[in-house]
Amino acid sequence: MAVLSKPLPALYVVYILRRLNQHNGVAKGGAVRTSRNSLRPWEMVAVVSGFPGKVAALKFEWALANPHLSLHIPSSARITVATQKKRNGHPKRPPYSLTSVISNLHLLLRVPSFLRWPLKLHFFNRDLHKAWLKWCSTANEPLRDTMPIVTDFEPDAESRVIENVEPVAEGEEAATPPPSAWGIHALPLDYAPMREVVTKTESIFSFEKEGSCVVCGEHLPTGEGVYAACTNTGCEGVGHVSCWSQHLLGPGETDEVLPISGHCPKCNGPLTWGEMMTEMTLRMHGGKEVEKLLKKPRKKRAPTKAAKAAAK
Amino acid sequence: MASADVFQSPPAKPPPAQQHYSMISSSPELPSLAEIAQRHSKRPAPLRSGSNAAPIPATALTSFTSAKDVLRQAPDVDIEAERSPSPKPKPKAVRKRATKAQPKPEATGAPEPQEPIVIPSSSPTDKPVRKSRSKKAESAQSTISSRVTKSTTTSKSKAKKKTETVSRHFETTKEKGKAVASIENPQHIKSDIRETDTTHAPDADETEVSAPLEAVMPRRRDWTPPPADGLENSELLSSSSKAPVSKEVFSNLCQDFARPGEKEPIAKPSAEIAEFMKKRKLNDLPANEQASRSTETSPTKPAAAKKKKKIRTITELATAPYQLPELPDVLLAPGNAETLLKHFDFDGAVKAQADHQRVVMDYQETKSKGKKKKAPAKPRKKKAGTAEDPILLSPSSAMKQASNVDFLFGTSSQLQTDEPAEVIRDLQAAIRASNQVNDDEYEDDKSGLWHKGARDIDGSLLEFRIVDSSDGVEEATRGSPSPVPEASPTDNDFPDISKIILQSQAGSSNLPTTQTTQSQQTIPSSRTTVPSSDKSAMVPPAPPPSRPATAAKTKRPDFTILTDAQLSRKISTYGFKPMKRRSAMIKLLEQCWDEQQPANSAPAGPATSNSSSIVSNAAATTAPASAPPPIATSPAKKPRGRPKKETAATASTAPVKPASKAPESPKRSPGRPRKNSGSQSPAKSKVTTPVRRGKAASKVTKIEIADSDDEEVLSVSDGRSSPDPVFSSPPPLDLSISEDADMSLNLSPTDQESSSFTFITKAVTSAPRSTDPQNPSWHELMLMYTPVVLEDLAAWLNAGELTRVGYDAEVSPAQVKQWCESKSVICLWRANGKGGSRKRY
Repeated sequence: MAVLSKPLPALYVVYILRRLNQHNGVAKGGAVRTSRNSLRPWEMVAVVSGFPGKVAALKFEWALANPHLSLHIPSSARITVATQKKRNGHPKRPPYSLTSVISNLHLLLRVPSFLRWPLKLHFFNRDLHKAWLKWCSTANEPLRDTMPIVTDFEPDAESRVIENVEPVAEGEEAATPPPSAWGIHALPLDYAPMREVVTKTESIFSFEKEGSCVVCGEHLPTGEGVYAACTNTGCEGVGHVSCWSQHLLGPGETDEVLPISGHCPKCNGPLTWGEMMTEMTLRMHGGKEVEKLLKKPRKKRAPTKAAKAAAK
Repeated sequence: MASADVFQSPPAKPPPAQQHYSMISSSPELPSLAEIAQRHSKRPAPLRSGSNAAPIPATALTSFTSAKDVLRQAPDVDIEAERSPSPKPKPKAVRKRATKAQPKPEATGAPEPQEPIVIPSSSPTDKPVRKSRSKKAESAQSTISSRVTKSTTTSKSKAKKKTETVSRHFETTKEKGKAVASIENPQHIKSDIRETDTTHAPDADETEVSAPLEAVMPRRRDWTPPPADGLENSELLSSSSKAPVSKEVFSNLCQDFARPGEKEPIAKPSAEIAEFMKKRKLNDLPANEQASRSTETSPTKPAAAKKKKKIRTITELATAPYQLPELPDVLLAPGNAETLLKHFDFDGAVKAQADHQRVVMDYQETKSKGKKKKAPAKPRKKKAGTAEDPILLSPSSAMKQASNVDFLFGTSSQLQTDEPAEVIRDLQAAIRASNQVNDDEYEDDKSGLWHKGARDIDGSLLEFRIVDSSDGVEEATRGSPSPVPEASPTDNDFPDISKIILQSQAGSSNLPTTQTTQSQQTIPSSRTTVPSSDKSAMVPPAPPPSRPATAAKTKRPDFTILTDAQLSRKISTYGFKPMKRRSAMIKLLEQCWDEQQPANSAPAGPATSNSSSIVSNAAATTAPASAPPPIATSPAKKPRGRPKKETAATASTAPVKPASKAPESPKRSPGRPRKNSGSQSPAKSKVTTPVRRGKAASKVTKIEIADSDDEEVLSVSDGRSSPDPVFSSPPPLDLSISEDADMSLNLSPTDQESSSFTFITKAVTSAPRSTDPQNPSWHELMLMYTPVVLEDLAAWLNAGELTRVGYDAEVSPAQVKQWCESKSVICLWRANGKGGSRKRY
């Protein structure tokens, strides 16, 4: 049994900030393709976040970069079909276009392989978001309604023309980053948003206040199981992970394994399975991170760091 | 000295006989001459300068130094030579010139410097310069030589009239030759020439470099001229004859020869060695000439290229016949051949006269020479049955022959001590004879393409076949004549492909007759090992005698005798995929045979014949084989061979499949159900065939065993159409037997998946939750978005979890992956694409 020794990453997209800086020449290295000054600066227009780990992120990225090949896309639903072959005989991906990327992104978020992942879609560009909405309206199948889609446009609301689209797992566009943090630079890079929850659960489990499972009612012996806790503030509902999943899946999804979201049986507050798991894995495997996270409020560094990172 | 050289090159065309003599005599004595030449070191400089002055002569010089190289390089240089000569010889457009004019160009081309050299060596009296040179050679030179030189001198003056750059040596040679002929009898001339050659040849060497000449001679001796080359060249020459080119080339060639360097070495060989030299020279001379033509500057390089062209590898040998058309043009210009002939052979001399009139004559001569050279190799080949090209076999035919080879296994001591091969063969033949009862001769007779043709046109052949399959009596009647042909499948096989193609075109009616004739012809050869030896490279003699099994009856052929290649081929004819295990293949074939026999009787009779020539051939070959046909181990056993593979391939799927693994279904069986399940599985009534591949459905005509789509089936393209009727009956049978179990799997892939998925889900979710946070259950891991290792999960599921849930089968990791992806569970393989295993996630 392979055990994940790491907690779910706070924001797997983090590395993209470095890559974006490379594209813009701020950081050393980077792709030659994007090194032309005439194309700079590059702006991040959209991001898919929430990947539970490297494996998941790479799978999604590859699928998005190879929509003509990915086996995650059922043949009946495949949008991008290779019509040419590369020299090595492999099918050649048709050239990117804004529509193709959006449509494939839309498709991949609907594909069973990724459907139940705790993904989150960020849009930082109005034009792109318009195109997205347009596609969503035309798509024959909607995204799951529980898919969080976040928009964080440039404050000034200056309309910019999309010059070029070269999305990877996350799209990058040319634009000038404004001084104030917005877009990708405003994304939280660490577990800071989880601080409150972590603090709560920390107190619960450190003081062995698990009590009984919110779902099945069984007593929860400390340290003898994998327990998840409600992430809503003030709710100290704790239960078996499996119980939580059964509860959140509900009667309609008995065949499924992974819940997506639901409501806490105790506080009836909204729950997101990704968030719960992040907290749980952080509690189980992220001793250092938790310690770090809990220390920060005292020093009040965490927000400043995030701001600095964003300012970059 | 120089005069002698001149003799050799120039005389070649007008008085070929004389030239030949001169050539022969000169070659053997070269080294001594070279030494002499060294003494006359003075000469070389003027010669070189003279040659350099004139463009052609310059080439001659280079060729001289490179003459050795040139000899070997000949093929490569040829191209250049042909090109280069064309512009130069323009004035010599007429062939008549070539014969006669050649001397002219030489004369014209030969500037003064060369002449003086020659003259002095030969006769001191003629000119002062000559005298100085002759001093060295005086002892060696005879009075005859002096005469010759005189004649040359006179001729030179005449030759000078000609404007071309040809070396003087040529002029001298021609003149000399003429003079000699007129003055003396041929015998005298020969002797004289020898003397002169010996003396003169060194001069040429001296001019260029004595060392190379010496080195060359030993090389030639060592170098056993590959007969193939000679043949090729001769053939090439024969094949391509270009009159204009030949003229030009010829003239150029003569000039080149005229060059002191080249001619001298050529002349050196003694008349005694003439025969050997002829062959060698034929090869070499053209090369020299070409080299000289090509360019003075780079004689050595072209030589290397020429060397490369020579056939040294089997592949080259094999491809050579096909390359012939190209090579002849490039390698040997008609002119070259002519020159060669003239120089070397008496025959050439005689022919040369005719050649002057026509280049065609030259070709014939070259051919004859080539035959002489190759004589040992070719005639045998022709005997073998294939006409000219028989040597080269197509891959398939080569495989056939190779498969027919008999092997004796044993320690070296055993093999040595054992009785002679004949005894062994006799023993085997006797054994086979005893076993022959079972064998099927008739199939062989009707085999493959022949039968097709027969079928198409006449019903008679069809009747034949039917009779054969059904009745042993008729077979017996034929048996007396037929057995032999059948017995020597190798012989038949050999010609088969090419002949079949040709014959098929010719017509079906001819086919039967041709077969019989061929078989009869081949038979003697097969029996006598000698003819086989001709082919020996490709096919060992042993098989033919052994195979002549007379008894060909409906009984099953002994597949154990077949080689793996044959077995696989036969299997492919039945529409099955190739199998790795020999035993499995044999069993399968036996089963197919058993099933086919009844089927053949009614409809298949003709079809079978058409269906696969290969099969019939293979059967024929196999049937005679000594081993008693192992009665088919139950067909059921056959599947086992494959099933093992399948099982190995997919452990998880194993439980379902094990019941009956169809011989047909290959390793992929586990994968197929999925594919099929989606689209085809339910639709197809026939259990095995349709399911296997989508292709099968598309290709209605194909054998039901669409699985056989593999290469082998395709290879039997002809068989395709025919096999359908024949095999239609048998394949379903086989499939039904073996694949029934598979079918169940295939038919309900989707259903299976869905059911298995629900069970997997149930198994995962119903598993007891772990009490150790550090060791969560699979369900908890999935809930935690932890990547799941498919192999581990599959093993866990198969370890009893599925049975606990009520699912009485195993799941493959691939299926587990599908399940994971359907559930958005993050999964990965323990083994990455590169074969390594993951340690971290």
